[in-house]
Amino acid sequence: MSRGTIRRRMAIAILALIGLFISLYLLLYHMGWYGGLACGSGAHSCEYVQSSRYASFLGWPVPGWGVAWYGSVLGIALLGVQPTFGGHPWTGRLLSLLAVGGLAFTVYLTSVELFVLRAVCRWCVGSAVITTAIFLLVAWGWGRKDGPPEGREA
Amino acid sequence: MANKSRKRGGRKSSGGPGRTFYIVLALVVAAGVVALFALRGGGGEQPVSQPMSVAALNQPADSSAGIVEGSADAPVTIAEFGDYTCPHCAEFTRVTGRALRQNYVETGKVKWIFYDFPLNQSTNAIPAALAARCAGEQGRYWPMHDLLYANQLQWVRSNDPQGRFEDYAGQAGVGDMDRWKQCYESQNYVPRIMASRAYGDQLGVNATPTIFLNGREVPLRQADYGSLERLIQQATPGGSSTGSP
Repeated sequence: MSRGTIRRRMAIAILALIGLFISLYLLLYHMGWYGGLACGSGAHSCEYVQSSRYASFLGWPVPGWGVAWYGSVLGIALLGVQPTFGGHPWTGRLLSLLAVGGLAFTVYLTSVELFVLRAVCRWCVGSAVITTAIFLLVAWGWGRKDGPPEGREA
Repeated sequence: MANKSRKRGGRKSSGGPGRTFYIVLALVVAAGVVALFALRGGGGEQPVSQPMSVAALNQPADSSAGIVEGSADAPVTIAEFGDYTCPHCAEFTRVTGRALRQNYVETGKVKWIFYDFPLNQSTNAIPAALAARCAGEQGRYWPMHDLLYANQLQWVRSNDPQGRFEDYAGQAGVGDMDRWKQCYESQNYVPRIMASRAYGDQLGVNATPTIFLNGREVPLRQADYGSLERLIQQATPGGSSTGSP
């Protein structure tokens, strides 16, 4: 496992942890723990998006999916920086799978915000930026010898 | 070499991440936990739903579950799906809805139907809808409706909003407060509120406020006074403007 791979996975773990807290915040709002969302001057948009029909996916609140997704990415990235598990090809493959799935879901949610609801929630934008950054960090390794999809880490 | 490697990459020579990485993770965790509590507003009043039976919450859709104002013969019908805890709805009522009702409903040109669409059952949305419907029993629905939206920030996070609702009911002109309290506490209108919500679901309502004008959904961007006034005039044979908010 190269130093570059470890650095990327460390960055992924930190980003996933930040994303986990954003999702947790939105999930707690969904559960009624917060009366409103701290969203600056765009508070209306945040609550409008979070209270829309698109705030649920397959019967589960979208922030719940976010918690599960960021939690999974965090767990795998943390395992992926350990000498014992980091070199295992499945670590890279799982991260790649999650990154692609996460990016696809982010594109879907952002499209809904822009073209269906016509309202943008800042927390969603933050999460979208983090998800995209995680995808780029994962994709960075694809073309390299230490790239995760091929499982060539030594 | 190991020291050099640790300085550059923050990892041990064994290949794992260094202490710095775990310190950063711990700092992010600490900041995240503090932020979650800070965003809650220092442990103030938080909305808690009133206990309601599942049977009362699961209702079939009912198009007659809305509150109607205006002439049955009006050429234009506006149906509004709203949630009393929704900031957009409060803004819509304050800036657009109230003025449109004054200028078009009271002059017999528009029939306005308000459908409760409580988005989240764990907020004060249902209790507020209940408070308005109980005021409606004494003919004071719309003043209560407007007061709830006008004072939304005062009760939306309250753990027990009944006291404030009682004040608004008094201000709205509800005469028999004992009857209002009995109505509110009995929760008898919860099935009607949820039937209204189910009707919105059936129509594909995604968010609040959602406005329908003669059965056609008005895009959110057109839900301002000027646009709605134009749509009303287009739908009214020989209609003309009667004022602005």
